[in-house]
Amino acid sequence: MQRWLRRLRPGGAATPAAPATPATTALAFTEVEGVLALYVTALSGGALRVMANAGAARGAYTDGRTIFLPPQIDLFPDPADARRLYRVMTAWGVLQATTGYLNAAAGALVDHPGAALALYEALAGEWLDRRLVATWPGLAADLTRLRADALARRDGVEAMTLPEALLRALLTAPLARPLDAAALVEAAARAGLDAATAARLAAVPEALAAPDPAACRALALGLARAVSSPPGAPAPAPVPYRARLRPELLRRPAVAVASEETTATADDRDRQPKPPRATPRGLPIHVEARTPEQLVPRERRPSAGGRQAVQLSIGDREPPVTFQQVPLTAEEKAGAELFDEWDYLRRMYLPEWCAVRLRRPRGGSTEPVERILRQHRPLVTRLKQQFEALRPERLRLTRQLDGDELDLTAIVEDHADRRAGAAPAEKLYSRTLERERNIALGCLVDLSGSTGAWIDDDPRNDQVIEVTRRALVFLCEALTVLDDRYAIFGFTGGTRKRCEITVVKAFDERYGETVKGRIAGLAPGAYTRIGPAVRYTTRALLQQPARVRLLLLISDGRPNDFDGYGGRYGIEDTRRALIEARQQGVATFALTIDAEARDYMPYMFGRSHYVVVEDTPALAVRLADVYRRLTTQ
Amino acid sequence: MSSEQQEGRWPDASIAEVAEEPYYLPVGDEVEIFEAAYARQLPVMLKGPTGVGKTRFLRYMAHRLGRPLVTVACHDDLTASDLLGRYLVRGDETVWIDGPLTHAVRTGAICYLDEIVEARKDTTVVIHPLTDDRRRLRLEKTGEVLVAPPEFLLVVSYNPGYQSLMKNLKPSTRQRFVAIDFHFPPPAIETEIVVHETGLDRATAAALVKLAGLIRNLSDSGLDEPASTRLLVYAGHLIRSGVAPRRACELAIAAPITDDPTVQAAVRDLVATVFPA
Ligand SMILES: Nc1ncnc2c1ncn2[C@@H]1O[C@H](COP(=O)(O)OP(=O)(O)OP(=O)(O)O)[C@@H](O)[C@H]1O
Ligand SMILES: [Mg+2]
Repeated sequence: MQRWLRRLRPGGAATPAAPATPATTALAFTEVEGVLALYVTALSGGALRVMANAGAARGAYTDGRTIFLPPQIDLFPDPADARRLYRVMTAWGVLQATTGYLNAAAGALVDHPGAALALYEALAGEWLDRRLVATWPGLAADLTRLRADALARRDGVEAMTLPEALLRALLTAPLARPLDAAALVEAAARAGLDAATAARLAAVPEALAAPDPAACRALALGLARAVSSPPGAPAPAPVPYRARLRPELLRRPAVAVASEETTATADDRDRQPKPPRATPRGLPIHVEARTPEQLVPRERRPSAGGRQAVQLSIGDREPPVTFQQVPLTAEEKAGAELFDEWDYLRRMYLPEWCAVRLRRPRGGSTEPVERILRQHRPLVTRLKQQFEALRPERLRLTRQLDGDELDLTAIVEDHADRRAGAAPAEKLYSRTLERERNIALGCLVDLSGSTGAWIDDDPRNDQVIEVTRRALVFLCEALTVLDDRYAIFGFTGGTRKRCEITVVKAFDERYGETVKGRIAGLAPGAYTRIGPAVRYTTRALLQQPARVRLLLLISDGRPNDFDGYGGRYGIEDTRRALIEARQQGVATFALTIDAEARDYMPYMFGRSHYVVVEDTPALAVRLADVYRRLTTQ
Repeated sequence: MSSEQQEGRWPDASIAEVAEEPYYLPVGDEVEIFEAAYARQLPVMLKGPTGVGKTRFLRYMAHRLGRPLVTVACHDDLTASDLLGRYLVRGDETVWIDGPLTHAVRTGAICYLDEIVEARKDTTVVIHPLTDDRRRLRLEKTGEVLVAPPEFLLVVSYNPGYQSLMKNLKPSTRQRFVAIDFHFPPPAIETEIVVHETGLDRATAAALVKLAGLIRNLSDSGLDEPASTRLLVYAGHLIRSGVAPRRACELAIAAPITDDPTVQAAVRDLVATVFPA
């Protein structure tokens, strides 16, 4: 431990005579990301995740959903020490987000940051250290070292404010024993605090023994009121392993994670701001119709467009505007693939009604995909193993009437049976069967604006499109072990004149950097005109030499487009497009996260040819799962 | 033919009279349900992950009901003859040897087909006539039709978690059973089990259970089989015989549950989080 401490000291100057400190080795977050992703899932029961953030370079922090960690740790010669620090930071963040630490801080403290907040961080930080050791005793040794290190780093801090003195006094106290009031007062006095103020710290042990950090808040507020600190006094330097409070993130309430550690007093619950009520996704919200031209800039601002279109794509009513039923002009047709559309009112196809244009993005940074891979490596490995079971295999059929080999077991048994007087068996051969797959998959991905919505309408969560991205990565990775031909098309619409297919992966493209870049770059567009997208994909599938052709739709809502393609009209056209596909031998299946999908999906896809994924994040695995199930022979 | 001789003929099956009461701590109403099913002659399916006490439960029930227990470990080469029996040639004679299932029907035993999904479909169909209300077993080769006595009970086990998709139980088979779900016991009960099985002190046993709880949170993240009660018992035994807790958990828990290096590292971190060095 001595050695470890010395290494921790800035400059390593514990002993002047010590030889020059070995240079520190930086450990990048990305190197531990996969393990930490699992670690945080285990500790939080899946409620939290980890992510690197430049803003966390000076200390981790959490918004109650994500623990943001420094992109690298460059404090130790031995990367194992940095690993340990990442681990303690993560565990600390988990308790911070799940024990009421954040909730207790919300409100009075965060609205007026200052001495009270600093005092709270010192007190509740100590409370949490002790909680951590009690919950996960294996971390006690690492934490003790880190506390000593934190103390050592404070040697250079000049201003001896009350929070600073309190923090030092607390860090000096051994974790293994309950706090001793007298020792604490003495330590604070030694740290330079005047006797009267130091005496007030006698109340600290009781606050720290409380089951909830609310007592720490009360004490912090009391101390701050009693001791006038000079305005603008510097906030104490952060304790390296502790996640800091970020007032700006706390103005929204923290999640209450279901955990045995969660203890919220009634008093606390009252004081907490109410969580924002999620807008039910099915609520019909009246929105003024815009002209298509007005939509164009929105397409370039995905997030704003997303929120907007969430509302637009859910109304059950017929769109308020009727559009002129005129053929596309030559100009509108230029450079587009044209598709008919089914008008259920007139019971006829409208010829060359939709203009579909292809986009083949060049594919930018693959980092979002790489991150998914780093965080979910074991899951991907598992999916691959499952897909391997789909590989064409040679199946040995025993007890056949005819075959290329004799079935010895059957013959021996038959011998005995005949001796016993039974009739001779006839099936004494075995045969080997080659099963081949020969499948083409067209994966059609809804990129409508609603995919820009946050899961549960909580901006701390992922956007729907992020889950789609993950689903595609998992599918592509899993498919690397098979020879299935597949394409991925994203689709959005902005009226029938401007239907867009984003070619994420063409049938003849390899899943490589370009495709990863395109998956990474997927962004919400505008509307959900499913019909033309289905027709386009069907056509593409029919051009593939394959025995089985499958169209898989991933969607988050009903068909909708600005120019009258809402309500029943859109559903009828989509249904028609799917029937056309099936008539041409293309199997169709849908995955949707729309809770209301049971109202219209059976009508479009048939009763058993779709799944509603209730838990949006689960879509990521379900896609690969569904594909595996559908193509199991 | 005595049962010892019978048993020698069965490579995949065993027969046991459960003389001494096995230790079994009920988690819910499984004992009552099983007794009700037995009284009504309804076949039973024990559903749940590996190592949660299915076998132990059945031994306990066999003892309670005073019936012998015939256990067959199913696998994909298991044929209908392996269950029903076959003729063997002995010198100039041929002898019919009952298979474990036939034997259990004849003697009114509890017949346990462990991991039934592993068996081939054409093997599983032979149990179908036994599971409807006629409770009959046809031996095509000897021309016999056996009617199961009231003491006979068919029990199968089924682990819905891990099997590859190809190996799903057909609904026509599945729906012939009363299913009893086995989950990991709640912490207090699981701690009790570990204490009883290993003689470990309660605090250490509770720590093992806490560790298992953390690891089980990873079941959707690429872990094939979560840490079972059995593994906790193994780790407990190692600790009891003087192996340091961290080391014991690495050997008995981390290593067996996964080959994935990332998951291994994470599980080792969890071990180091729960147990001090
Ligand atoms: N409720 C329980 N009461 C007593 N012991 C239990 C209980 N549950 C689990 N165990 C312990 O767990 C061990 C494993 O249980 P068992 O062998 O019955 O598992 P299983 O469910 O049959 O597993 P598998 O599917 O791998 O055969 C037992 O040996 C016993 O020590
Ligand atoms: Mg068993």
